[in-house]
Amino acid sequence: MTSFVLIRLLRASATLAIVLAVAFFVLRLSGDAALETLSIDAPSEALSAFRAHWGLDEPLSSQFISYVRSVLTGDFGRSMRDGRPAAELVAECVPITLAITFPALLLGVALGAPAGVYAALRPGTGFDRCVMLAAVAGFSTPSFVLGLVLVWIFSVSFGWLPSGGATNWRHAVLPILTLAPSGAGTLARFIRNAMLDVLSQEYIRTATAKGVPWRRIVLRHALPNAAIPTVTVMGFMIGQLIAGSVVVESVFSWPGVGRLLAVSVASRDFAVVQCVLLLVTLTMITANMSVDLLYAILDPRMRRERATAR
Amino acid sequence: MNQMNALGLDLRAAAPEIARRLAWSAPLSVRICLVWLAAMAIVAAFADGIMPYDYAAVNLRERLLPPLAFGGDLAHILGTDELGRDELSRIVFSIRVSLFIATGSTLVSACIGTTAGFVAAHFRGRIEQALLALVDFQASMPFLILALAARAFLDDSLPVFIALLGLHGWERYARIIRGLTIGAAGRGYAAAVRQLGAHPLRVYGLHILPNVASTLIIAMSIAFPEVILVESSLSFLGLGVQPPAASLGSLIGFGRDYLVRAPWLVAAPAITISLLTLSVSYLGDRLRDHIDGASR
Amino acid sequence: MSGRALLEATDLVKRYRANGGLFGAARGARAVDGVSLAVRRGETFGLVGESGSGKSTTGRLLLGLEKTDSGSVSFDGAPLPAIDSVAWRRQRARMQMVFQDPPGSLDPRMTIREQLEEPLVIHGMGNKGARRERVEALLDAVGLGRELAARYPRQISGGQCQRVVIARAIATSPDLLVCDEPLSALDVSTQAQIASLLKDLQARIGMALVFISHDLRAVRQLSDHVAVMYLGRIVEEGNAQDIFDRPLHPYTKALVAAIPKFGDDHARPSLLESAPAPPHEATGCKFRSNCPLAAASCAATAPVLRSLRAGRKVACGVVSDETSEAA
Repeated sequence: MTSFVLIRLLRASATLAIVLAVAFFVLRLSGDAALETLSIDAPSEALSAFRAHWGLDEPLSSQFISYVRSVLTGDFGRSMRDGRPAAELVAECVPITLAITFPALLLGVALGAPAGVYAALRPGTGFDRCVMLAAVAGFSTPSFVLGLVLVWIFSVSFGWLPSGGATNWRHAVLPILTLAPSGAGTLARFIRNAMLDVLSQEYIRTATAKGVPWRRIVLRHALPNAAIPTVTVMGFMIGQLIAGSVVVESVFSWPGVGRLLAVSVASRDFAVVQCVLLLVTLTMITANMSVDLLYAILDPRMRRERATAR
Repeated sequence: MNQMNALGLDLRAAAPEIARRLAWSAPLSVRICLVWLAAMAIVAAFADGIMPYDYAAVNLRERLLPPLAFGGDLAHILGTDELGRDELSRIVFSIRVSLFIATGSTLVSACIGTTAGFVAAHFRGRIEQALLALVDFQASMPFLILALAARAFLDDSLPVFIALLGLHGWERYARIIRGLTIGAAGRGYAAAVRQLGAHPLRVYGLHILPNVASTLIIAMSIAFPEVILVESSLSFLGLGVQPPAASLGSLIGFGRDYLVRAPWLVAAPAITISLLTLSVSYLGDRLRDHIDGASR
Repeated sequence: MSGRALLEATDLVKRYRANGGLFGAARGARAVDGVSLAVRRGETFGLVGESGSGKSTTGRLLLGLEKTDSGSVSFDGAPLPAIDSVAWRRQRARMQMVFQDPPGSLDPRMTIREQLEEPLVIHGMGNKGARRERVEALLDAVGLGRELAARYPRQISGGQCQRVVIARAIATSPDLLVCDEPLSALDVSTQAQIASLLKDLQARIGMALVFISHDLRAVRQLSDHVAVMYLGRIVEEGNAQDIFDRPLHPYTKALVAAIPKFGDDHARPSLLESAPAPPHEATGCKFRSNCPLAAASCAATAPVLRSLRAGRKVACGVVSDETSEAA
């Protein structure tokens, strides 16, 4: 178990290192900061003074180390658009994004899990087919299409809900409704297959033959066992939500991290972009590690296999 | 990404059977999807002949005309946009752009992934570990975020955009190819050909690649709709295909400003792209079910 | 031993990293532990042993298909070139291998003709027409109909596959052919046919044949010279007739005694099958816990392969030529 955690930690730090390295080198290679900040015809003494001040005349490796140090202390530089520290800007947006992604995740689970379970209990029926078609539609419909359809229905045609902004809870309804289906579809599909897998196992058939009530079989044996692999899909769903939030927040002018990223990319606000990128990386690392750990704890077989693997 | 883990080694054996079933005894829903896809492919291929106007031809006297069904006339069946450009022509052109980008990117990422998989399987050791770390990294990050962040540093040209999207999903191909190659190289025909004195390129290109091609193609068909989604999302945000060119995503992105006055500017491309991604995904989904069933 | 050997192996060692397991044992088990042998031109060298004796690994080391941890192999007087180098690839034309699993060694997507042409294409032998003729000659040589050339591996039987694999291996007229358990995947009647095909080809082409097998009857039928392997070491070596008639090492004796006689289908449980897993790192003779002749001295030092008389070697501290005659 410890070696399992250790390997995971190692991989997580490798992922972080890749992001840091890419962000650093792309930033450095994308232009001479001295030239961009001063001007092309600035005197060479001014340029070298600028470089010395920001450490740009040091070798790349020591620049990288000081870069990593400043990132680790939360210093990402300042936004080019309003001059505020990038970390501060991003931190302000985080709760706003969580206000729609978290409910969307809950809604996705609440819709997807039961749909998948019911579909698995009636495989091949019309109900099953409908659920699966809805699931595919859920994760294949572009979220901006779904969002605009909802805006058209609820804002333009009926005028029930606002189409953008973030002043009260009513503004959050449409973004949440837009974000939820893709997760619900992914989950429903995954749970259905996991359930079908478990239900075809020998011990379930044995229990059925013995006359154990079906209800009891499903609740006591099939569901818990199908829930274990389902844990693994949660990491994917979180990634899906993060990606989805960029588009959805842009559609609804929701001032979260996603919209900040889109706007910063469009205006080439590098400091903010790399800050968001690192935030997403950390989130995904945490999510994936929690998922792996949870899975290892839930599934003793997995734990043993991991321990014996190299 | 997790869905890909279901793709086992047995795909190769199952593929011809799947193809046959899809072609002959396919349910109505599958056939509808196939017909829609074929229609899209034909539209994309013969876009020049189908477009009634130049997709970029501005006509400021005919701005925001409604489509035929909403009181428009035959000259502009799907109406016109805010610059008086013919919406039908723009959609036809966008289908071509979207499919071209998605196909190109899928091919690029399949090439990158296949090469990486072969390299990892061939050299093992540190090179393999480094590649696997990259694979892990890519698999753990939502691709849209990576592409978006990279967009901040790159220029707007179409080749760069295709190359960027060509990084989508390479890690899956790399995983699949690495696994299959190590399996084949350990024993069996690949080892046999190697000891005949064949150059590694011959072993990989002439022997292993044809034997894993069907698995690769299935993986590509699953990745294809995802690439369309990423492309259209980026284009919708204005960070993908740049004007005057247009993709289905960017049509919707520009059309949303006229959602109240001219909803058809969003509706027509939205319906097109939804049906497109839905039918590709649905086919991929059925394919997976068949594979899961066949390998169980 | 008369004349220069075609292939000479000196003190080959190959360790495999043991699957760490819970104890994280990093020490590798020695699959091959100090094997020396020499194969002369045109002879058939039988390498006998049970599974896990390291005979297949030895076979791959002899051909340079795997790196040795220590020791060296020389072929035709020169050491084997570095693995996967150009010279190594070129040398494959002179040394070939036939694997255990015949259908698995053929590319499922290529016709028999393409598979047979492959070594010729790789080594740039002949033009299109010449290769075509060569393929037909090869099919004739291994007793396959020419009409099979257009078929795929899945369309022919296991025995036919093995014939194709053999034909492919001899396509470049190699000096050395190593067959690793070429019979084990085949049914009994096919085994006999393939064995006699190998004997026949070997006599006709005059290549040296290293025949690796756990089947002592087949080894006896084919081999001129035999080496018996036990846990990565050669325990006895000599003229085939001699070894089978008068086995000296207690392990060889047990093996020979376990050969089922004709008409005796009931496989006898051998002494070896009931043997406990031997400790790899123990000192002394590895066989001693199973050995009827084990003496106190056997625990102290590992016996080395020593010559008893011309062409006869044994790795046992207890037996001598006389004890075998007494027995």
